Amino acid sequence: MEVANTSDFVQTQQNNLEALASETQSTLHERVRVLEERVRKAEERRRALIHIMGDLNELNKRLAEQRKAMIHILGDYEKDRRRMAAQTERLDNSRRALLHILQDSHQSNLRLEKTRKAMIHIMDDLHKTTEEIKQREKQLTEKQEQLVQAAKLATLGELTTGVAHELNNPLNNIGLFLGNAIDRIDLGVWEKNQIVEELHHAMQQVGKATEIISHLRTFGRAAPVSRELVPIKMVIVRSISLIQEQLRLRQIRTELDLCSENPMVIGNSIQLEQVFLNVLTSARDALANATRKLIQVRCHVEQGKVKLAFCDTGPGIAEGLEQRIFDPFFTTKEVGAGTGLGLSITYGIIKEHQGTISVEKSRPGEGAIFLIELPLASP
Amino acid sequence: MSEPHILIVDDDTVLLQALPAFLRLRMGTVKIDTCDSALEALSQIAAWDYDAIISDIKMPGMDGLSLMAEVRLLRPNTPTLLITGHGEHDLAVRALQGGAYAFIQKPIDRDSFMVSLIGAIQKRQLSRDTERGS
Ligand SMILES: Nc1ncnc2c1ncn2[C@@H]1O[C@H](COP(=O)(O)OP(=O)(O)OP(=O)(O)O)[C@@H](O)[C@H]1O
Ligand SMILES: [Mg+2]
Repeated sequence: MEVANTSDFVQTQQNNLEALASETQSTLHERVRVLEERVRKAEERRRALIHIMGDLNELNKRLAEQRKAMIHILGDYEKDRRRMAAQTERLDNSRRALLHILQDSHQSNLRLEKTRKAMIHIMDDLHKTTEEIKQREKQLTEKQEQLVQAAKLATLGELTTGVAHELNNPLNNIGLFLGNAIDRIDLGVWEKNQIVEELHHAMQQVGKATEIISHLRTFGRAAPVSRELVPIKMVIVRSISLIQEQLRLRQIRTELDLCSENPMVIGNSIQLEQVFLNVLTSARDALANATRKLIQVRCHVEQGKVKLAFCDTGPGIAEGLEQRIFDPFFTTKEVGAGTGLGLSITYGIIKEHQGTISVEKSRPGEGAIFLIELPLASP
Repeated sequence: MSEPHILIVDDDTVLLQALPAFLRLRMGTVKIDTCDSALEALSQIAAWDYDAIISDIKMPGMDGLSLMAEVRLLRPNTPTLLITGHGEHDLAVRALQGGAYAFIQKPIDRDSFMVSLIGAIQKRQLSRDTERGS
């Protein structure tokens, strides 16, 4: 448009020039120079414009590049945003997981609490069970005491057979001595000292019978188990005397080798007597078919203990049975012949006395050796 | 009845003192030997022809029943009286089965014992008479 204007302007100028033809040549010249100046300036302006156009173009290009860069940045931003979103999601997941865990831990806590309560219950139960066990133990001790008494009575029953025979003798003798006294008086052939002698003999036999009976009575008594100072040698001698008649009838010899001192133990003399009677009757039974029949009883003191040994010349204890013979109801006797309680009760009593009982490993051809150790009463 | 000769066997020495005294009181004239074991008795029996043997059953070593078995072989006509404890019926039965003339229970009833013993002695003396007569 500017170009069109310029040509219009040139036209006008030419018209003016023709009008001014009459005017001087110099004026015309001047006019031409001015016009030419104008053209030159217009040309400059055009070039400047072209320049500006070029600049604008350049600006446009730069803008386009900037736009591209922007798009790039926007793309990056979008990536970031997505990454952020992903992270957020991950975070969210973590959060949820955490929540889960927390919930779980809460559950665990609840469970723990339940377990704790259960534990308390169990402890309570345990406490009750312990008490029950104590109760049972007490019952067991009572039963054991009854068993001891029963076994004692069994020993007594066995002894009675022998003792009946033993009692028969003094009774019979008493009858004979008294009968003789009566006969003498009846026949009128009496002298005072003869009668007194017969009666005296009778009295002695009464004494003998009394001894046997009183001994049985103390042994059979269900006395509460008291503890006292017990002269162990005396108990051994008493036990042997109680069974002596049975041994004598079976031709079993006894040998005593008791130490010179008089060892005392703390315990119950009746229980200890039962121990010795059990061991002695076991030896008696073991000697039934033996060719040599001897029971040796030894007693000595060593290192604050009384050590007793009961040896017999029977078949001994079969290998491997050294422990089992102390088990309750273990017997090698025929059914009905033995209870198998003798040695187990013996074991129990010795244990109660803080002692030990064991059987020595039998050497072939040798009998059984029972060893009993009891702590000496401190003086 | 000629003076009887009697053997008493018992391991209880007090009885060996009391019983002869009783027999002497009741019988007046009587010859009595005593032994405290069956083995000792056997040698006495081998040496003497007793009119009666009185023996306890329960004795250590050889008992009265075994002794009687020996007597039956050695002196088949000598009556044996065995002493059992009171109420020991099984022993009494075995005594009779083994050929005892009688069994006597301890404590001894003196009158019935005398009856048995006199019976035994008379039996023995009778058999001796018939032996001599034949
Ligand atoms: N001196 C011994 N020699 C050989 N064996 C023995 C001896 N003492 C005990 N025994 C064995 O030990 C077993 C158990 O003995 P325990 O006294 O306990 O019972 P028991 O004698 O059989 O029966 P009970 O005591 O009722 O008569 C016996 O059966 C026997 O086999
Ligand atoms: Mg036993």
